[in-house]
Amino acid sequence: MNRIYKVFVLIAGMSFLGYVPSQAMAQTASDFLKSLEGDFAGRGNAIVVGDKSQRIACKISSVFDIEAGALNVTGECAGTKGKSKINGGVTAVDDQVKGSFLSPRKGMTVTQSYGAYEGDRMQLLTSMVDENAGRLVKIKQVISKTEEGINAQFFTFSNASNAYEPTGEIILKASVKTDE
Amino acid sequence: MWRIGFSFEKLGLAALRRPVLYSLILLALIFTSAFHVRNLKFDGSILSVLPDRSAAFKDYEQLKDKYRNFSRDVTILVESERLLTASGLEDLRNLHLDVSLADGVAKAVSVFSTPVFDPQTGELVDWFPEEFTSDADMMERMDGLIAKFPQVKSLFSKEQKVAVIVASLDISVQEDDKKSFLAYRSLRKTAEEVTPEDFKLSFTGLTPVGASILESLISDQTKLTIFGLIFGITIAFAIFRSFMAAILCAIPPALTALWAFGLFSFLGIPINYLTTVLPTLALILAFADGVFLYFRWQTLSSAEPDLDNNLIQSIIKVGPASSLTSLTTAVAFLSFAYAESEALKDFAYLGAGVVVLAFLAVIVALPLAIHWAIRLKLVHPGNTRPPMFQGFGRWARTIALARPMIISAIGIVLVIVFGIAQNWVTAEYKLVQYLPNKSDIRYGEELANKVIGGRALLLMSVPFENDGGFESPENRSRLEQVDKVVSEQFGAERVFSAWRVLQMLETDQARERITELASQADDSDKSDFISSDGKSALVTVRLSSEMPVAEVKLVTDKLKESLGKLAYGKDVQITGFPILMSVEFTKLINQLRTSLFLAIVLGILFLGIATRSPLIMLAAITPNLLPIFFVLFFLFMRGGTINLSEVVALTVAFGIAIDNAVHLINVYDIERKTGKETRHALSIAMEEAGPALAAGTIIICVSVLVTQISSLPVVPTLGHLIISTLIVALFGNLIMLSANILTLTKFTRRK
Repeated sequence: MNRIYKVFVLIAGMSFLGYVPSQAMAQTASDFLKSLEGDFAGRGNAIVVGDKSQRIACKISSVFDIEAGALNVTGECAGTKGKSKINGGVTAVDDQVKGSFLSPRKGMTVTQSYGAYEGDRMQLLTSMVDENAGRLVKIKQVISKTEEGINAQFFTFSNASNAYEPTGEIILKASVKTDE
Repeated sequence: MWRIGFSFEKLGLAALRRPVLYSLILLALIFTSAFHVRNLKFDGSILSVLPDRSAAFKDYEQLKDKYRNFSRDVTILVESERLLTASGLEDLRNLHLDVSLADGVAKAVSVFSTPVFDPQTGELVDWFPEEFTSDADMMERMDGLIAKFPQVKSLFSKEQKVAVIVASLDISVQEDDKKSFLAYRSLRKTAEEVTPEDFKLSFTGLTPVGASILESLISDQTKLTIFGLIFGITIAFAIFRSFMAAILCAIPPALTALWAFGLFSFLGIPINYLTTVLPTLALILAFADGVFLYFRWQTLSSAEPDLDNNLIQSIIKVGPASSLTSLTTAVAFLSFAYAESEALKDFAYLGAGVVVLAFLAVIVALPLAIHWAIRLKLVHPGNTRPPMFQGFGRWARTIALARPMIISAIGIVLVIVFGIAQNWVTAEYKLVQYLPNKSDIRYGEELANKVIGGRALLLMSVPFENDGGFESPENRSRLEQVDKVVSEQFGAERVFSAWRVLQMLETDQARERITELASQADDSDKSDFISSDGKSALVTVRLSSEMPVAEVKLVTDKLKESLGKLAYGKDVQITGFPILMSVEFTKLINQLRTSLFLAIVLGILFLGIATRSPLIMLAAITPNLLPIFFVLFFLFMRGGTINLSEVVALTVAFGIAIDNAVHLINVYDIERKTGKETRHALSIAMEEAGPALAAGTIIICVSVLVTQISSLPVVPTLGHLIISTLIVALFGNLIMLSANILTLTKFTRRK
């Protein structure tokens, strides 16, 4: 259960993962990353178990470090059968954006990640290898800003259809932190 | 000359000789206490009174280490008419998800978390779809799940339209009350913010219970202290018919309360649900003793104009009795140190400490206050009136001295009858007895008991035979056997274990997959079923927190016997909050009952030593046993059980009740030493002490009524028992003690 769950976490965290080499979007990508700063919470769906998507909820907090040009993300996502932490980081350097998970799941190695930014949407394509199963997993995420927060859509590459198929979506809204 | 108070009253006389110096010392004590009060701590944990070195406690702790701290779980009960609809279930699932993400929550479990595995592959499948389409479809799925896993009924009651979400707190906060209470409050806030308006949420579990008790303790201290003082001042005003008298009589209790809080804070001992009553009790004791002293001073001043000399004479006459009553009450408190519990030892020493402080407030602070009132001309000679109850002593005298032998015989018979009945009173503990009245936590706990059969867990840890986890047939066999034994006793629908899932798997591949998933899972995900080291598995049963401890013991003994028939049965560890409480509270209550009788023996012995009279010691036995045995007889008639706070109340009540005997004997002793014969000396003692005893008893009883405003049920109970004991003790000591002295004296002379 936990292992499957962490696959989801990996997917969710991909929103903020990236090695985005596009020279044309460097400035824009940095601005975009900065615009993702804040506390967000929301619900959505993702394939957590088997091949059917399920309801999930996430709560994240992202901080943009202007000097380093880095967006650091921490948070949690929960389904009805468990929850996992998300730790992510994306850095914009000159015209490039790159990032990695702070705690990727054991046995999953990210081999490639690239993306493009157009308008108010960022698209990331990530390839990773499941070392236990020995198979390649390709994931696409489309991250966009909304009036209330962030919309993250997830797709997984299907060898059968030779296309990316939707596997989940989370609509995150900016939340107001209250002190206890 | 030998005086009954061991000459401690000389402190008061010394204070009057150097009023400025002693006033400055008192002021220093007041400021020091006030400074320390800021750091006062409170402890809402229900476990705080348990001895932490006992075998049952160690079992409980060991299991916590192996799995997790189940007692920290927060149970959320959701009531809604809409729960049987698709939209209601959708909202319930959303609530589950939001609760999972609340700060300090490790995971949440609801009906949606029921693990359903593919019997062939062992892969987890989700029973409920992403979209809840129709009411009929959802109910069909729910019925199907309940048919597959009857235990689901404890998470979802179709009949009562109640759903349950159990939130486990993070390991990082589990061992810290403050952090876990904060996590609970955050979780509660999150749940209440996101829940639909037609969902009613109730919270229970030991963490909400602790947080709720903590809130009550804090509000109680303010309420009890302020209202206790107001009650006392009002009644003092009614008795002395003087506003200044009421104010002066309020000084010792006010100082005692302040010093008591200072003492708690200075020693760093938190106020818990037992010690919460100590400052109020100390306040009441100070009131009572202060009234005796003031009573004497006002009575003398109504006849003699020399107020200063009257004050000295009052101290000389009442001081020894105050000193001895403080000693007997302190001894009563110290008797709690006999119990194994560290918290009860703290209660014993703090109780004795606050009694000493109350004595200092009466014997030093009150005379000084009167001294300064005289200097500032706030009180004047001739303007004092005799206090109330002047005829009470004469009334008692006509009864006690008319038929002393009959009264003594009645006393002996009553003590024997009540004494036999009190033997049949057994120890009891029920969590609900400690929950604040009318609180939503109490409602939640009662609802959990009614709807889901309770949330208190009986935990059985089954040691595996080898290292293969669930993959090993021998390990699975052990789990199956224990599950079967437990199911036979409690019913299969109340038993939770991994066996319920394992038995549905049809292939080795599926079992391997489950073992793999279990080994990869975080501790918080698997701790409900398998230990963190993978060497044992858990079988749990939910029990009602209303189950009497005697029944818990019977249930546990039967379970142990059944499991004992298995080859490894003795290695199955059985524990859980209900067992811990049934074992420890029964032991503790029985120890406290021994403490009570120890207090009685010591109290009467002290009386004998103080008076140097075996006759008086003998005479004091029945009047002082009678109030205790009477209340125990009442408890026997009420249901035959006694709880922790009731034993504590009786012991404290005894400590106060014996004061009546001391005051009477004090005057009798003085009169005898002036050469008066027994009957005459008793007559004077009753006439002189009677009004003060009546006034003191009424002041204490009325002041103790303040306990009725506490939201913690143990505190009003304590009040009921103290009042009942004191009323019986007043008549017992005034009438029966005098009758006994006269009867025994007659017997002695005949011999």
